[in-house]
Order: sequence, then structure tokens, then C-alpha cells
Amino acid sequence: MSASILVADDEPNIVLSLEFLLKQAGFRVRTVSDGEAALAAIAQEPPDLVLLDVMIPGRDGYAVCQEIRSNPAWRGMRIIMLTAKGGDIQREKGLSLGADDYVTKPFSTRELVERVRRMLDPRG
Amino acid sequence: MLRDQTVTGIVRALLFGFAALLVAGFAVLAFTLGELAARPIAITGGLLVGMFLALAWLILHRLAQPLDRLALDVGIVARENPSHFLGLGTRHWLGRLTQGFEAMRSRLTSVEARGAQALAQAQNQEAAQKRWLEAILLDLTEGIVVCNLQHQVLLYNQAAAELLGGTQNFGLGRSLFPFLAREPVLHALERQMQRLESGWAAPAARFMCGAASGQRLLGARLGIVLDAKSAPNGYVLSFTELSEEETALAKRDDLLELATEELRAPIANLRAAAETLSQNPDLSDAQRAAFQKVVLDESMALSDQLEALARGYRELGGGRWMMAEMHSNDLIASLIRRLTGTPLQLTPTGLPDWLYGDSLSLLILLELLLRQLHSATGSEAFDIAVSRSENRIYLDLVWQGEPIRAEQLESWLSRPLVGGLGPLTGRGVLRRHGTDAWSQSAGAGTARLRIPVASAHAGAPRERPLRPQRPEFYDFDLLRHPVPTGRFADRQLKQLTYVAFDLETTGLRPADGDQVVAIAGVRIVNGRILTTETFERLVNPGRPIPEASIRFHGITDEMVRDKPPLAVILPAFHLFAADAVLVAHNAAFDITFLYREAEGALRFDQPVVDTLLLSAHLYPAEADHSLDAIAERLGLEVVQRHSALGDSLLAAAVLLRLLDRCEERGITRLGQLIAATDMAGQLRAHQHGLERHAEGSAS
Repeated sequence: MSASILVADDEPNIVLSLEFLLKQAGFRVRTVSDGEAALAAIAQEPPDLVLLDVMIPGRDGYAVCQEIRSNPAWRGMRIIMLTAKGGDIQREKGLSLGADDYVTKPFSTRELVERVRRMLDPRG
Repeated sequence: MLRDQTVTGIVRALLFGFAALLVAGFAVLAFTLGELAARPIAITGGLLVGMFLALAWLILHRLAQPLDRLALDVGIVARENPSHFLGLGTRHWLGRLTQGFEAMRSRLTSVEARGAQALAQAQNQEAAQKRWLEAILLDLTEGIVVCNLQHQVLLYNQAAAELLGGTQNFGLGRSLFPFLAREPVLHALERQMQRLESGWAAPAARFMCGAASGQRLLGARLGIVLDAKSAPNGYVLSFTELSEEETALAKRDDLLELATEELRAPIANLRAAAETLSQNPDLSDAQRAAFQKVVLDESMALSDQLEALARGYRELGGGRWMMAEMHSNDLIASLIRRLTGTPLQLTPTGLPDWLYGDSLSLLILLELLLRQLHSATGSEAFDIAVSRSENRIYLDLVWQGEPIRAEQLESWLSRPLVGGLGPLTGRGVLRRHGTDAWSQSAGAGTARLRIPVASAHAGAPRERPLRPQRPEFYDFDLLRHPVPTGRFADRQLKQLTYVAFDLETTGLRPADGDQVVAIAGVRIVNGRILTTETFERLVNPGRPIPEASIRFHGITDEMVRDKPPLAVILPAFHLFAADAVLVAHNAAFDITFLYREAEGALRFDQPVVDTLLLSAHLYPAEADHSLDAIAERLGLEVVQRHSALGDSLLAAAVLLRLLDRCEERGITRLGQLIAATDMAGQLRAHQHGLERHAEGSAS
């Protein structure tokens, strides 16, 4: 079965592209637009990777990330944080709270998909 | 009363009395001598009385009355009219007295005239200066207030009154604090006084301060006013409004202008191409490809430009406005003072360093976070750990327990702060410092709340005084003796208590009589450098300090003249280091000095760890194991290097890093570590082709 990805972002225009490109790359993709919905979707069926925007409404990306990391059952889940905040401190905060990677908007969609692919299949 | 009477009255009374005595005398004479003598006595008496009356008239009219007249006139001249005419006429006997008086009068009037002239001139000058000052103060949009040390306003300008909320009650002689938040002013004043006392040149302190009326945040500067004897007797405050929008606007104006101009063109291109694509479904494949290429190229160009702008914005420093250099120890000391009376226990750990920020707002933020952490976790004991990572200083609040959830932290940060900072929130303080805060596990059942702050000398080249290398000492007797005793040898390395210490000396040759001039140490407990548990003393070496050594450690004969000798200080250090493993860099050097002085009950019988040999053991490929080189490799920095305390702190930090490395290599007990360093020392001595150091065995 192909790897599953949860996209948590409240910008429909970027979700449109991400969903299309990730599905095209062969992943199963679900999308949510706020923090609570993200945690609910994860609880329902834990994905292999979460593309997590920092500034989502409700519980923000940092809180969701911390919540995921506090659950030992989700230890293997990979988290890539997406953000419009470009500061080094924010990057450090994201990584400190348990994110595997931190990508600043705008980004190259091709590179992002490549990064996701590498993270889910290190051998490929 | 005699003095109220006129001269004329007195003289007249005297003359009448005398005349009465005269007549009575003659009457008695005539009565006694009988009728025979009556006639001659009457004639003589009549003549005498006639002469007396004439004389009396003259005395009254030529002397007594003119004197009274003169007294009256002098009174008028002195009190009312300096040019009053003396109405004496010429018939009097007071010629020289009136001449003297006239001379005195002319002199007096000329002196008076000159005085009045000078006074008028001075008044003019003063008025001119006052007008100048008023004009300058009036022209300034900055508020200016001068206060004495009782905070009474001595001078202020219109702008000050307006910024502080209206002229109504603001005025000279009134207290400043109903109008300006007390705490930030007192804090800035205290800092300036401290700087003044420590002999620093004190530039005006910059700080943020709320107007007491509430909603206005001011950016202020405070400078101390010194009196003629250079003692502080007041302060000058200048301030401007510092609304969020205003500062943001002022700083980002240029960048914004750049942004709008540079982004306009590519967005125009992108929009034109996108519109063409969507409105013309019947484009040829070649046309469509051309427009798609435009969309792709322009969006990539936009991404690049945005990146450049964001970089520019970050370089602006993101709201670092009223910021100043401060030492972490000062900040933490203030924090501990603020917490007295609460059950909170704060232990400073780590390596003290210089930060760049706004002291008071950081202080209030840290206090708020500690209080919230206390009520959320129940912890009463916290460490405040200072550490450095490149250009950042981490302020970590550490406690036993779980990390705080991000949304809980966010809710603490969203509340307005108390303590004179107007409408500022904790989030606002972090934004102003261009930073953020988060909580994470710190290992071993502890958690931390981390606040990164800019380092004070971010990017600035650091001064490194050239240090003559101490000769490496290889006296294994010194290091091996005493061998780790049972109570230490099997203990976990991280659980031991250490004292990292350092000496400054008159020279590098203990055997030739060189002596200690300073001794310092710091305690390390449970893997934390306890920054407040330090020992630092100057020592009188009993001999002159050579110029070369002074250049190196900065300690002069003058500084140690009234200090006790090592024999007096060593017992205190012995007590400080009791029950701790001693740590020093190139330890044999320092130990040689210590053991020479320590005898009997004062023997140092604890094991000694040498960070030089430990580094040599762990990094055999490295050639340079000087403290500076190791610190650079490990990314450690200490301010005040080359003071005994600075070097002790650095040795302590080096030790903790090296102990981590030891654990990775399976060295977990002190006994193993001593054995390993011993071997490293022997190897090193061998490599350098050194025999036992001659001086070491001589001592």
C-alpha cells in the first residue's frame, strides 16, 4: 500500500497544488484546514507524514507538532512544517518541538515532493 | 527711653536742670549770708544766669538742633532718597561732620550705581539664557524632564507634559511618578548608578517605559546629573512616543517602498500572462507554452525577490529598538531580587554572557513565566541556565517534570504584562527581541522553557589578548597523589561535585619563587555550572608583579597591596572546594602552587581532573590543547577570559562537554577517567620528549 500523507493548511490555493502533486507522485493524500481537524484525522488513521502549516487556525502547527510527539504510538510519523515565517528562531522552535524538517514558503513544489519522497523512503 | 529722644530734648533738659541748680545755689547762699551779702550775690547771680542762658541758647541752636536735623536727614538719605538735600543751613557747628557725610554719600551712590548696572546686565544674560533654553526645549519633540534624586521635577518642557498626559497637574517640584511608570525609571536609574559606581563611562540608559495614564509606551533615555563634586544629584530623562505602529513604520518604510516598487513589475507580468491564458481558450500550443513560461519564470523571480526582502527585514533586526547590552548575571540577580518573598527558588547555572535586549521587559517576562510555570507544574525550584549558540544566548528555565504545551505557553504570552510597560504583552516582548519561546524536554526527567536572545557582540570580532602559553607540567606524582579515594572512584562522573579553579601568578616558574596573585573557582553540581557559587579573591604575592604578567592578567601591585597573602585565603578556598573533585586546565601548574602552601589540616586530599590531559586523551589527533583552542573547537565562549574566574568558568564548561564525550566512550567512573588522563599525560610527555618537569620535582 502506498504511503499516506496528511496536508494541514488553511490556504486552499496551496492545498490544491500539494494535493494534486502528491497524488500524482503516488501517495494517498488527505487534507484538513485547522489544528483540531488535523489531530482528529491523525487519531482516525495515523498518516506516514504530515505536511503541517505553522499558522493554521485553532491549535497552531507548533501545538499539533508537540501533541504528535507526545504520543509514543506516533513516534515514527514524519513531520514537515510549512511556514510563511522565515526566521531562524522559528525554524529552531519547530525542530525543537519535534519537526523533522522546516520549509519556508514560497518553496519549489518539485523539491518539496522530492523531500517527502526521500523522507518516506530513504533508500529511494 | 533715652535713645528715642532728640538731642535737643536731652540738652534742653540738662540745661534747665543746671539753671535750676544755679538759682537754688545762689538762693541758699543769700539766705545763709544774710541781708548784707544779698545785693552782691544778686548782681553776680544775675550776670551768671544771663551768661548761662546765652550759652545754653548757642548750644541748643548751633549744636543740638542741627544734630537732630542731621539725624533726620541721614535717615531720609539712607532709607528714602539718596540725593535728599541736607537742610542745615550755615549756622551750626557741624561743618566737618556734614563734609564727611557728603563724601560718604557720593561714594555710596557711585557704588550703588555700579552694582545696579552689573545686576541689570546679569539679569539680562540670565533672561537670554533662559529664553534660549526655553526655545530649545520648546522646539524639541522629545519630552525632557530633569529630576532630583527624590524624583521631584526640576525642569520640563511642553512635549514632556503632553506625552505624560496633559499639563494639568504636571509641574515643578511635583513627583514624577504619578505621570510616568515608576519601575522602569527606578530600574534604569539603578543600572546607571551601578555603572557609575563601578567606574564605567556611563552612556545614557535606554529603556521602554509606560506613561502612567496607561495606553502610551515611551522610548526613554536616562542620564545621571553630577554635582560639582561629581556626586550624583539628579537625572535627565528624555523620551518620545514609541507606539508599535510608529516604530514599525519608521524602520520599515524604506524596505516597504523597495518592496512595492520591485514587486510591481513581476506581478504585472504574471497577471497579464494568467489573464491571457484563462481568457483565450483557443491559443495555439506554442502561444500557450510561451505564456506558461512567463507564469513560471515570473513566479520564480517573485520567490527570489521575496527572499531578498525577507533577508533585508531580518537584518533590520525586527523591532530591536530600546535595546542595550546587559550581562546575564545582572539580569538574573534582578530576577532573584524580584522573587524574594515568593516560594520560588532560582539557581543560576551555565556560562554567564552578554545579551542584547531590553532589561526590564525581559525581567518582567521571565518573572511572569516563572510564576505561571510554578502554578502550572507546582515546581518551586528552577534553574535559569545561560548558554550560547553562535550569535544567540539561550535563557532556559529548567524544572523537574514535563514540558509546557505550546498553546498554554501562548496563552501566558498573550496577557498584558504588569510593571509599567503599558499595553505590552509577553508575545510583544518576544517580538521586540526578534525571538520566540518554547518548551521542550531537557533530558533526565527535566523540562525547559527556552528563550533565545541576541548576543551582545553578535558578529563583532572578539579581542583575544595574546597569552603566553604556560609550560605544560607533567608531574604525575602531583596528579596521581592523592589517588581517587573510595568515596570518589566509583561514583558516576556526572553525579560528582567539582570545583573548577584557576590561579593567576606573578610568573610561570613556581620553583623560582613565583607566587599567586588571584585565585578563583566555580562549583559544578549535577552537571550544572552554578554561576553564583563562585570563589574569587586577589592575593598579595609578597613580591612585585612583573610587567609581563600584569599585561597578561591585568592585576597590579596597587590592586593587591591591601590584600591578604595566600596563607590567609587558602583556608577559605579549601572550605569552598571541600568534598569536590578539583578541576583545572594544565592542573599540575595550579596544583604546584596550591600544594606548596597547603599543609596539615589544609591538605587538598581530593582527586584532580586536568582538562588538558582529558582533551588530549579524547582528541589525540588534535595538536593544540590550550584552553582557547579547546573552547573554540567546542564552540564555547566566556566573557572576561584571562581573569581567574573567567578561566575557571571556561574550564568548567569544557569539563562538562568532555564528560559527555567520556560517556560516549564508556568512561563513566572517576577512576577510569583518572587512569585515562594519566596515560594521556605520559604519552604526551613522551611525545614532547619531556622528562619529568624539573621544577615539579624540585618543589
